[in-house]
Amino acid sequence: MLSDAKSEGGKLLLGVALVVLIDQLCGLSSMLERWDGGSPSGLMALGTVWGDHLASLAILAVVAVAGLALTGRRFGPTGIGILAFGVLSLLTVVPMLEGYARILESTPILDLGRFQLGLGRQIASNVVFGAFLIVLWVGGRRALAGSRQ
Amino acid sequence: MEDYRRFHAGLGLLYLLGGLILVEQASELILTLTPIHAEAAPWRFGAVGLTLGRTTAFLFADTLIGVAAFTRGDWRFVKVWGWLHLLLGVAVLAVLAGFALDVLTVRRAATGAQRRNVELTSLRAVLVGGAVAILALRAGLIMSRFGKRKTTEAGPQMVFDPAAAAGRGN
Repeated sequence: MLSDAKSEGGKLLLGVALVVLIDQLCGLSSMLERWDGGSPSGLMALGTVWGDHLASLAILAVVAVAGLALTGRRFGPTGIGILAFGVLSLLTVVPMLEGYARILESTPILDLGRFQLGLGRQIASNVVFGAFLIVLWVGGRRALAGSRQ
Repeated sequence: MEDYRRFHAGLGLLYLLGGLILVEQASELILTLTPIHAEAAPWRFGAVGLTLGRTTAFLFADTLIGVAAFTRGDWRFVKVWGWLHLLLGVAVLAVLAGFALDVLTVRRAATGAQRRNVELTSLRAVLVGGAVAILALRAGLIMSRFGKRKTTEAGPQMVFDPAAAAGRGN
């Protein structure tokens, strides 16, 4: 019965992870719909928009790994998705810095310190969450491989 | 035994955390939706969009409560929670059906870019709402069936074994 509860609970967790993923992707796509990719502020907004969804994506990844562990399924596509989200989070730093460099060249910023602080916080957040997702991918892969043996 | 008590209390905190998130999200949503104009199609259209926009937070809170109930072995609560999910699933389907009518009304009044925005919002609402309804119905079926089976069963009710925990504790 215990394994029954684990398996059913794991399936529900996977269901939750799937619905949250759909919700987050819908949110991201509606943001990107209005995105002005050519402008410097648009480049910086890419990292900010991604960052707005990162906390939810990280929790979703943990829920998905827990669901896989409980149901005894393989890491497979879920693992690839987690790794891809992690790498993408790290990559968002590049357009943010590019946008920042362009803004510095073209526009005088009154309160540069405050501006840098906001940007730095966003970059740090994206890097930390990206690293977390990559660590989760490595740890989850090992843990799931161990639990299946 | 001490370990077991701590574990049990820790899981109780998950209930509390899940409940707090639910209350916080619901109160924020109510504040956003007031004043209520349920007779107006644009208000209903916006209300569905705003509610579904909080899906992730509601689902995480629901997951915390579900995980706590399953792990603590509160099968009566799991049964009740399952029935609530069944009701929620049916309610979401009913709301989506009404939403389809509102989409047609609001879309006809909108022009140009506004119309595209309405279409995108509707698509998102149908996708997320449909997924939520399916998940709620499935979760409801599993939890109500599981809770019923466990509460009628004789024998130990807890998933976590206190004796084993006491043996492990040092």
